[in-house]
Amino acid sequence: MTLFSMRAAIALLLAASLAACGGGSDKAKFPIAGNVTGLVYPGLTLTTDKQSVAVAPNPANTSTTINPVAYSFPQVLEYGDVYFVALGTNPAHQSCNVTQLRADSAGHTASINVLVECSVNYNSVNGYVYGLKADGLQLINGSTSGTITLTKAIVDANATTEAAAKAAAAAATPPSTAYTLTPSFSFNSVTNPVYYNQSYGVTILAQPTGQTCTVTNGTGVMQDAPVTNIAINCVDNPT
Amino acid sequence: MMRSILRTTVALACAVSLASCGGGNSGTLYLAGNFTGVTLDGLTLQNNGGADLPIAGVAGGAGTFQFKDLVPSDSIFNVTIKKDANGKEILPSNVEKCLISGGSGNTGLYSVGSVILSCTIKTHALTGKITGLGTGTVVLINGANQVSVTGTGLADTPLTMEKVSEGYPYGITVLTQPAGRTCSVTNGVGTMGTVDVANVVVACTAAAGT
Repeated sequence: MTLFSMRAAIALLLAASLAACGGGSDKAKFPIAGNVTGLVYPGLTLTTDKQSVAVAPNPANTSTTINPVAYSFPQVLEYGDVYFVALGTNPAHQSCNVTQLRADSAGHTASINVLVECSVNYNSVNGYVYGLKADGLQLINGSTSGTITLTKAIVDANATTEAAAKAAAAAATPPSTAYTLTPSFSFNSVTNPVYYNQSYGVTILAQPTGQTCTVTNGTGVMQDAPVTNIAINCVDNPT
Repeated sequence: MMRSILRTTVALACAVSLASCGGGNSGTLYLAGNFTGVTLDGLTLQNNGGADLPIAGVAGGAGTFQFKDLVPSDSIFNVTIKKDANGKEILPSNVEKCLISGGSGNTGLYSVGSVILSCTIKTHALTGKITGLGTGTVVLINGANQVSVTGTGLADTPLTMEKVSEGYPYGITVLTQPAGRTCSVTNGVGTMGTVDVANVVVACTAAAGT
């Protein structure tokens, strides 16, 4: 080997070792990753500083089993970079929460693992009772939501027709076009939630004394807003 | 003289220490927990086979309990359901079985509030038949429980809804009518008693105008 070629080889070696040091290419990399539980519908995006990632439901999901799905942001962090994982958009019909360890600096723990929990939205089932003159009316939503016992007093206290509510709002000072109706009954969404895409069927468990009531619009599938169109009409029994 | 005083003191000390052990009423820690699935009276809890703690049934079935007698620190506790003469647990009439978790151990230094009594309420079948369905498909619901039935062309098609807990109401309605037919439900509303319900009838006829 000549002296010249020896020199060249050393220079090459030096260059190679410098390259290895430069640019941090051997620094530890930290993907921002984690799992999403309870994800049923598409549309979920997560964000962190200058990045976002869309997360689709686990393809292995069935109608009864919802599997967790893993996500990872496209760009990895280097040691010491900070992150803050937040909800970009909720999936359709669901609400998600970014749970523990959502914000930290990369390298504080061996890997970054941010859990996101999603649950299906729920709403109340409401309706109006007309013509009730006696106590004893009991309403149920199958075996799902317990029993509501309605008295004449309860129905009368909440009874406001749309026309009456509009008239009262218009007569107020200052006049308003905004009004709210209080339903005669409500299958409460907190204690007895009816989830999106779940069926509901309101029937009469017990008739009021001396009257017969019938249900209109009592059956359906929960959408993204409370159900308010159920009507129960009561008429006197023939004597 | 001195000796007799000493004797008295020893006797008193013995009496005090005996009292502190006896009756299970000498502790400073409470023993408590939560229950679910108890809608009727009848169930009684005991700690180490001691004083009865009746659990009163409540609507919704969930509540809390606490033993009246305090328990000593560093002592063994063991919460069980009171048994009859044959050694069988006495349960409310509508309960299938009960489990107690966190019911035994050593109190250590702290009160125990984490005993969990969970009872399962008996369920009964809700079944019947569908007439006139032909080969159509009808979707019937009992609240959130959905059952889709397709006829085989025979006169009657059996209907089986999800089982319903004893004492719970049920109300079957039609979510989706079969093509060209209208079905109505008879005997579809009631309260589940102590035996299966098998008399639900869904009658389907040609829809008006077809």
